[in-house]
Amino acid sequence: MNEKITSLQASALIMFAIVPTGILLVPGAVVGVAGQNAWLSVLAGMVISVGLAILVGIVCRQYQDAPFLQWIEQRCGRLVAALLGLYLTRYYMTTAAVTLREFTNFISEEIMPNTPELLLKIIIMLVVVYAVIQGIETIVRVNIVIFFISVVLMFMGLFLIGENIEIRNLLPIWEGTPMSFMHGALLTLAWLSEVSLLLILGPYLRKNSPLIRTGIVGVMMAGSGILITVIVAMATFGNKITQMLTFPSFVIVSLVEIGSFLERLEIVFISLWIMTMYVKLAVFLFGAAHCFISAFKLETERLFILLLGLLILLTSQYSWANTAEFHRFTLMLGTPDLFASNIVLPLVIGVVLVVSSLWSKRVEGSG
Amino acid sequence: MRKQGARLLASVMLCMLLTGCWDRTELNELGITAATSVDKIGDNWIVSYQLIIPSAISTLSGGGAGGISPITVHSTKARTIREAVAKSKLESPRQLYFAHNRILVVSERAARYGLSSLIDVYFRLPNSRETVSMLITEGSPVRILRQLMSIQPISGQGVQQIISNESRSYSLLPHVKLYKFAMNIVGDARAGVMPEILVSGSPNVDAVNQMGETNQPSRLKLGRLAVFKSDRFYGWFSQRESFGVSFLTDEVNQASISFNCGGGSDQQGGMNSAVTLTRSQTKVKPHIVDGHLQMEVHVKSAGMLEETVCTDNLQDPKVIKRMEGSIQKEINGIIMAAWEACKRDKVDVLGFAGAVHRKYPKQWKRMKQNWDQEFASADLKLTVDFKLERIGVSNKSFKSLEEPEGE
Amino acid sequence: MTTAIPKQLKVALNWINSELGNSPDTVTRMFTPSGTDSVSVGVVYIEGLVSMDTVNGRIIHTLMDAPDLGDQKPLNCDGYFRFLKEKVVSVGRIAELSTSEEMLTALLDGYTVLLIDGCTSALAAQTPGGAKRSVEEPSSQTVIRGPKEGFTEDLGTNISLIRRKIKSSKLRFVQFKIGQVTQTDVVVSYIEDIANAKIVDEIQKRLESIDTDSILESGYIEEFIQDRTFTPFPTLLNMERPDSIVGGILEGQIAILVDGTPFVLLAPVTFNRFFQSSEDYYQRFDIASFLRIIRYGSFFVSMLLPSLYIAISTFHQEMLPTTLLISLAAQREGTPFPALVEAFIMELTFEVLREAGVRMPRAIGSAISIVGALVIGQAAVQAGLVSAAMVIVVSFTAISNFVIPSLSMATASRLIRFGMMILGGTFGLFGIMSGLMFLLIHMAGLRSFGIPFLLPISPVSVKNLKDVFIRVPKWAMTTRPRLISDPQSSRRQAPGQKPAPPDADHATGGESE
Repeated sequence: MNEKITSLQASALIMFAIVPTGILLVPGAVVGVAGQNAWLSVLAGMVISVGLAILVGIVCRQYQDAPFLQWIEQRCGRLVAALLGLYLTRYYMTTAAVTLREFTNFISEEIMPNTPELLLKIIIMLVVVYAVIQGIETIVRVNIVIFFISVVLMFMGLFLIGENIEIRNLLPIWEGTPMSFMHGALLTLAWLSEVSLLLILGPYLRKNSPLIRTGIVGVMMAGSGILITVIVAMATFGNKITQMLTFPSFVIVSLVEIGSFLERLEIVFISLWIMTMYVKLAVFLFGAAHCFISAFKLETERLFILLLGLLILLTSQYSWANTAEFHRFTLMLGTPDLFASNIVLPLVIGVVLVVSSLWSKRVEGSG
Repeated sequence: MRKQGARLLASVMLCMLLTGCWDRTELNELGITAATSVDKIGDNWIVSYQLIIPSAISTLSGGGAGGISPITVHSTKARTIREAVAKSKLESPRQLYFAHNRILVVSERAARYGLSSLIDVYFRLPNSRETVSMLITEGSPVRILRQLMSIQPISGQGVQQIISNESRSYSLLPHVKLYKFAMNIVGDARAGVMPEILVSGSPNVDAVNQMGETNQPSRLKLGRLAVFKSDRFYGWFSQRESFGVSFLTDEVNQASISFNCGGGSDQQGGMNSAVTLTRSQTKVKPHIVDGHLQMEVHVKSAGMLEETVCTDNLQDPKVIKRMEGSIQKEINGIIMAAWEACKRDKVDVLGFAGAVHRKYPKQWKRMKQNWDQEFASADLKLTVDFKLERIGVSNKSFKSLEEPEGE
Repeated sequence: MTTAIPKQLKVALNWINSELGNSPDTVTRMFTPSGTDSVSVGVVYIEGLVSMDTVNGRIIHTLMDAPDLGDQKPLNCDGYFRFLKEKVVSVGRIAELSTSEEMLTALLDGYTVLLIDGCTSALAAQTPGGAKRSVEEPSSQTVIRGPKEGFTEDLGTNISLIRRKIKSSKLRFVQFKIGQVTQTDVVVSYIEDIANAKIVDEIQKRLESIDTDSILESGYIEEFIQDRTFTPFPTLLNMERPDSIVGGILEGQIAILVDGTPFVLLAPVTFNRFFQSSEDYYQRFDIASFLRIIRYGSFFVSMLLPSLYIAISTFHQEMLPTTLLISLAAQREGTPFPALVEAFIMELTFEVLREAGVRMPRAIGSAISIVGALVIGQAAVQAGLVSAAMVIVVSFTAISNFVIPSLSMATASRLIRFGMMILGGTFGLFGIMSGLMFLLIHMAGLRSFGIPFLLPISPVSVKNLKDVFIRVPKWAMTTRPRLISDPQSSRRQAPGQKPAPPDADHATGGESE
């Protein structure tokens, strides 16, 4: 009765590995870069990322049953697998630490300025470690529950803020340079590139799941989540104020007033967002633990999950002195890292696959 | 493993209980502000707060003794706004709480200095709401905060109700929320508006014992419309001009318009009839003809007859047509007054800049350098379309019954 | 370690008496039946476990009046034994015993044992009886519409209550004896072909592996066989109503009946099952769905309301409408404790009152608890110890708790409430959300006999959703819940049974609506 992950569940998981920080930070960032073109940039980023999803899906199809690193080991040897495992562990850990930092930054700036961040982080990591110990299937199930709640709440939110939206703020459609447009698109792509999570998730999927479709659906859902947020933010505030706000999405919700008895609803949305954030962190900690454990073929999973969790907590607490430094890090190092790990890596694997299959054909042909 | 985890959890829990709760504020530690005002004298910002006294309110509603004012007002002075707010800790036993702040009154002095830092404070701090209603007043804004209101014990809330009801059902003055104001002054036109609040009459009613009378000597009242260029105050529009601005920015929901119903039977020549506008829609289309800017504005509205002394047969389509004509003329006059005022002050509070930007993004780049001039030299092509849809539940005017019958 | 039954009747009877410690309720009788002169027969039974009418009328009386043996006498031991078994003892269930230990077990099970002098085997006749409660209306799970019978302490009665509702040859009862000292009868009941065979095996395996001295209530069994102990959530359902149990069995669940308690266990169960009442299926589907949503709501209220109140009133006051904020603030003027402490005082007071209400004699119990709540609530507010709003919150929380049909789920929410209050009081809504997330992860990881605890919601099973938050009309429930029931026979009833008025005139047969 070992339930495996279904395609829908995997798509939803990919979505929630991207969306929580996506809707929080992308609107401010992309509008800041691309200005009036922001929503077109996001759309372009989405289209490119679908290509990435297809690439990841194809790579993933090569090793339906064995875990990713095991497969690498079979094809390229123990050393490569171990190195790759270490590299991916580092990548997932960094992302998790960055996410944790973003999470606590938001919580302490928006709702609890006086509570020590370390304590918040401890609480968060306790829950996250517990989730990862329960296993990926549990994370996926939790995610589905949250997925349904958030779809409902998102439509409700859209309905409520409809009054404040002025579509004409989106016009004129094209303004600004192609450079800034591309910059915005790449920024979006960086966020959406986390679809490469599918490399790790693949083997956990049910047999014969449509992997490519899973990736595409995940990316499309995440992309449309971000797109809707950007459009709504721009339509509500115009591009100038949106640039100024760090967390536009929640400010939009705070504008809602229903009569004089229901206002400041952002806390409700923040609460849901907190839950999605937990899922995201759990996914990345799972990624790190999975890579680490399968790279070194370790037996005692729990201990290492706990240790990795602790490491992430300390990294995110002590690596950056202040918010400005942190933002510079995510911009200067974080984005290239995302590109390297999520786009270049599957590309390389894809190329190697093609080359090696050509090679073996030639060998067969000659032999 | 499980045991250790449980122990860790327990110790964390204990820590939390022992060290207490950092962001916790009990309800009776809050100084709930209902209204804030900002003034600028010399180098100093003067911030005043209207605090709600909850126990006084609950005895008021419980029909208790009364005698205690439901609100208390105090002011602090410092070089920056937040420092002034912080200084209130020197004199207030409770922590000021702005999330329920309803109105923000700025003085003309502060507005002339510029409101950038004020808006920045509002966007930066999560506790203050961007939906606060902005009002401007001549002279010291503390007067406004101290004025008591007879029906609504918390005057801050009361003022907000006045402005939101007014903008919904009378449309003379717009209801300006802080974030809208901020959007407008950084928008293409770089101009914004703000309604005026004033205390009409004197002396001020600021003691509870004055409330026993049925008529107070002074009241809070909305006045003119203040016009801003960028974040600085620029000038005043009269209520009629302001009404025109409401039409041009498509903010008219419901309104009352008096007109002369025309026809032979009328001798006075003044206003003798009134309609209420039930809906109104304004469409603005910019055109560039030979490099010259022309704004095409089309107002489409409908309403219901509310008062008339015309003796004409109200069921005659021709009479209705004539009435519609004179209402259209009236609306036309109101809008033209606003247009003239805008041209006079060279300030685009009408959002025309945005319309031009959207339609002619290329030309806009040139125009925006000198938009105020371009705006002032633009032409307005106005068409007003009014439909009198209903005439109420009486078919004839009462006046027509007074006239002798039989011809 | 078995010992044969002593050949001599006297020795055998003495052995029994001494094994049972010469207990006064053990009755041993020795006599010579009519029709024979030489054979003496012993009758042993335990008073109170047997029905005296049966023993006297069916065994002793018939023995004394036994028909003449005619030519065949004198019979040997075996012949007489068969004669008694086949011709004399007029009792339905009879067993032949060959060891002394079996004899003791039979006696303690309420059998009457017949011994024949010179024989090494004994005859046990079932003569069940003794004091037992008749079938009454269940006290803890009452309904307005629906059968009014409840299970009793007697296993046989309980089995008959189930059997009477399911007249199918596929209904299975599998008996276990658990508890080395108590030797309690435990019966697993399911319908073959509807219940999932894997789960049946799993349950039987877990029951067999129980090694304990006593089983006094189904709670003992529950703690031994549940999937996880360290969880506030029950993973087995207990029910006092035969119709609920039968409903579960018909959906493919498996009932575990324990002798000596009216509470029958049902497994495997999912989270939503704790919010279903058998009445849901007797009422119209619309009101049933509405009530179900109310129940889910009440569960969350009873778990979260005090903590939400604390969190919102001490961390997120901006969420409250201004007027409410002012009146709450006015109430809190002069209250000495922080909201968290206040809530704890009131909650603990309520728990004390509630426990007292259970312990107190029934006649004064309810009166005292109501008076206690009123007096303490009213007086505490007037004395300024707690705010009136807090009393409202706590009492509404308490009332919501009683809406949940399953008591074990209701207690879960009671415990969680306190943890949530601490989280809400220290970290506001962030704390509550973290706590909820923890619970959600925990629940998603729970299994009940291999079935995911959150089944129809996550993993999603659209077909099963017909009976979770809403109950669709009966005709629309064409299949049994997936995973729980046997995958091969999921069809419950024929599709397309939606009733419609007859087409009176139009014989053209267009689809209605």
